[in-house]
Amino acid sequence: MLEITDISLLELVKHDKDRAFSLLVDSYTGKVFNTCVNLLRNNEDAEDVTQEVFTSIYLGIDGFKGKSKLSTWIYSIALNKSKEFLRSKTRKKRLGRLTTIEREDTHFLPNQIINFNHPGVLLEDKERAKIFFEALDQLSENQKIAFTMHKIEGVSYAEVAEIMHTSISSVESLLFRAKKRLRELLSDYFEKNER
Amino acid sequence: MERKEQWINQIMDTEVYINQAKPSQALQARLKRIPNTLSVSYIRLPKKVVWSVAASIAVLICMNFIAVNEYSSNTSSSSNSTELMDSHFSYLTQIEL
Repeated sequence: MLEITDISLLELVKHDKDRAFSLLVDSYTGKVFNTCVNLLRNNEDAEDVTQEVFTSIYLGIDGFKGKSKLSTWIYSIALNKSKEFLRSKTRKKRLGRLTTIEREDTHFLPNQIINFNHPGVLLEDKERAKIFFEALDQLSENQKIAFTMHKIEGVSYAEVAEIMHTSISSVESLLFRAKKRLRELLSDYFEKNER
Repeated sequence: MERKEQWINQIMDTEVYINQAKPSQALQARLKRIPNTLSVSYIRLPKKVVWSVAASIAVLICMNFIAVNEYSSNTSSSSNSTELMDSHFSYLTQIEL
C-alpha cells in the first residue's frame, strides 16, 4: 500500500523531522493548493487553508502509521480543512442573510456566475471555466468533491473512495449523478444564453 | 441540438482547459517556516537564580507552617482561660440567686 517514497519519507521523519517536512512541502504543496483552490474558489483562502493543512501534517506526521498512502492521508486533511473553512464561511454568511442550504433544485441562472479567476486557467478559457465552476457549485457537497478530486485533480476512484471514507461503487455513482446534473444545468444555461 | 451538445462537451472537458495551478514562491516560503513557528523557545535561567527561587519558596513554606502552629497553640490556651472565666462567673451568678 505504501510507496517507496512514502517509506523513505516516514523513515526520515524519525531521524530528521524538519528535513522530512521540507521534502513533503516540495512534493505536496501543488497537490494540496490545487485541491484547496478548486474547492474554495479563492486564491487567498486556498493559501491560508494550505498553510493550515501543512501545520496539521507537521503536528500529526509522528502519529501517521502508514495504514494508507501518504498522499491519501494528505488529501484527507486538505479536504477536511477545506470543508471546515467553507462551513465557517457559510455560518458567517448566514448571520448576515438567509442562504439556501439545499441547492439541488435551484435553477442555474447566468447572473449567479461568480468572479473567480482560477490560476490554472488560461485567459481565453476564463469564461467557460466560470460557467463550469458555477454549474459545479449547484451540486451536492459529495458530488462536487468526488468530481473535483477525480476529474480535475486526477485522483483515482480507489483513492477518492478512501479519502471520502466510502466505497468505490459509491464514488462511481456520485460521479455518474454529478455528470448528469452538470449536463442538465449546462443545457439550461445554453437555452437561456447561448442560443 | 448538435451545437448545444458540442458546447456542453466543451465546458465538461475540464482536463483540456483547467491546468494545475502553480503555488506562489511566497506560499512555499511560508510553509517551510512552519517548523520554526511551531517550535517553542525556552529561556535558560542561571542555576543560581533557580536555586535561590527554590530556597525562598522553601523558607516561605516553613514560615507559614510555623505561623500556623503558633496561631493554633495560642488559640487553644486562650480558649482554656475563657472556659475558666465562664465557669467562675456562672458560679458567682448562682450564689447571687
